[in-house]
Amino acid sequence: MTENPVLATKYPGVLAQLVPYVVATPDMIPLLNLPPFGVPVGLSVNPLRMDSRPFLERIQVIDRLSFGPRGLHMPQWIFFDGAAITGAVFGFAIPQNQLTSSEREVLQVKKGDPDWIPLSIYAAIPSHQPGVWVGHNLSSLKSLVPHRPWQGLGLLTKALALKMFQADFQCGVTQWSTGALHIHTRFGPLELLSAYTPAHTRPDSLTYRLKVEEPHLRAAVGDPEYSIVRLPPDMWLEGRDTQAMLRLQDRLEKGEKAVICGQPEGKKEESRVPVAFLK
Amino acid sequence: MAGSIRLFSRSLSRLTDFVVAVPGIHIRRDEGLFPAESHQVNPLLLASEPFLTLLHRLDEVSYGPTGLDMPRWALFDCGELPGVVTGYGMEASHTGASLRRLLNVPPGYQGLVPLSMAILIPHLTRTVPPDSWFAYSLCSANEVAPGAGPAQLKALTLAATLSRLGIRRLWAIHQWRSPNMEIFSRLGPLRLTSGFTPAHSDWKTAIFWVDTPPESLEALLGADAAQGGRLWGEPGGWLDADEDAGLIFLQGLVEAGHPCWVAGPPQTLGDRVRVPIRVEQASDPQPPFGLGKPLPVAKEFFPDAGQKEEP
Repeated sequence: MTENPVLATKYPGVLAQLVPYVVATPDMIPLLNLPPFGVPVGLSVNPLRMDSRPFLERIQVIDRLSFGPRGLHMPQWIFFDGAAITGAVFGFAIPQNQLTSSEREVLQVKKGDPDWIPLSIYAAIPSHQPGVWVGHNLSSLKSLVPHRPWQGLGLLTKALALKMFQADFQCGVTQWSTGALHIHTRFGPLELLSAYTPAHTRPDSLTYRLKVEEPHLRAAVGDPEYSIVRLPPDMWLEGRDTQAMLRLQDRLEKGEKAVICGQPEGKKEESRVPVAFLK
Repeated sequence: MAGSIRLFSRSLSRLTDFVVAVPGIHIRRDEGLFPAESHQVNPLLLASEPFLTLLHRLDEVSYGPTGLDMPRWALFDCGELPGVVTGYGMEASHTGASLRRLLNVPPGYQGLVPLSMAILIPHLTRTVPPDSWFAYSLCSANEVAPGAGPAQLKALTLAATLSRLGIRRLWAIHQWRSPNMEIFSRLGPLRLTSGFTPAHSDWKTAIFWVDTPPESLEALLGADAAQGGRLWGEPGGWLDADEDAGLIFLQGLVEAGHPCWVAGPPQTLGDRVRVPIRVEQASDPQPPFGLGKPLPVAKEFFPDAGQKEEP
């Protein structure tokens, strides 16, 4: 449990029932800001140790259930090489003995699984640009156990992770129509680095850069003393409109600067995203 | 160094080295070693798509058969965006038909065709520009199409990468039986941070770092390499790269805090691949994983190859 009164008020279910964890090598741990926002990290997993495998396999389950249906599942070795031993992974876990039998079933908990079952994940790696981390996996299994009072699990996971990484900027890649944009945009305007991305499996992906600022993190998690000033949109981009993505990409490549200035409206493929151009 | 790089003058006159990275990457140009400008590719631009498709295909044909190829999104998210993909390529018009077929080079394509690639991300460093990098992929078309590129293309790629990025400590991850272990061990003794890695898709994986002062490039490309590399000090014993028990014991030593080193290139003896290992006493030893008994002397556990011969 945390002594942070805002988080304790806003996320009582998450912080009362779940425990934050971090996966990082012993060399990386001193570079992290622990505990983030005063929330104690109860579980530290060293991926270089042989006994880390069961817990890391469970993280694979989160990834598979979250991204598998979209064909973006992360092979185990990529998670290992591209996050566990080169960056850091933050999330929340629950003691296995506090899951009901039906929850164990829906979460695909098997005999031999670890005592702690991770339920959310944010994985990131530092980039060659100082202070810039690239986040490439934000997911949670909250939707599989909707009766649990874990509202805001994904949002809180990302907020605490960004605080822990001590990042000045965070880059990420996501699809225009994904629900994750609802979370990412809570942290402030997302500067667009690409609007259409053939380098990605899904060309209808965007690449963004977020300036990580303490007031914005606090605003994102619901601290009423902080707020984020947002630009009015110049256009709305629909999540399935590939031609609009290409036109926006063309403007970016010609030197224009644009941000996703607010939260998407609508759900999934029917969503539309507000975009503002920087003068 | 000038002497060693001259051994590659034919290759360097035909090849172009490339760097795929988002703007802001610091690329060095070494007048004595790699004087030409590298070909830079910004993965955020639409125009980069044909080359990145070929690069992804090179990864696919190199690692696909073992299931260690990268989905395209991972190459972008975990390589091109945070780090770099480096390598050597050749103008399409100069490539052979077999290579073009292998990489599915589209008819009429006139750009650069990648022949080798390394993927790296900065690691545990706050230096600007970063001087410590983690390499998690190194391959060349030669493995699947012998002769597609010049000999020693991977070593040349690694040397160019070290020079272009100004790397002073290189971390890497490889399977014990990977031919790349020989290449990395030319650079110097490899300090193991993992000798057996169940969290990886392939458990028989080693993770290590090696310091790479400028003179290490001489060892990588020079005469020693032609002789099969050199030992970096006296090994305490030899590790059988195929034996789980030895790898697990080695990992126990690593986890107990004993500095463990790969002391030179692996050697093949009959059907055995043996790796020279040096184990030092830990300054603050931890209980060894799963053993609960005093550590045997390293030499007893890593017997000389002569002692391991079948009767």
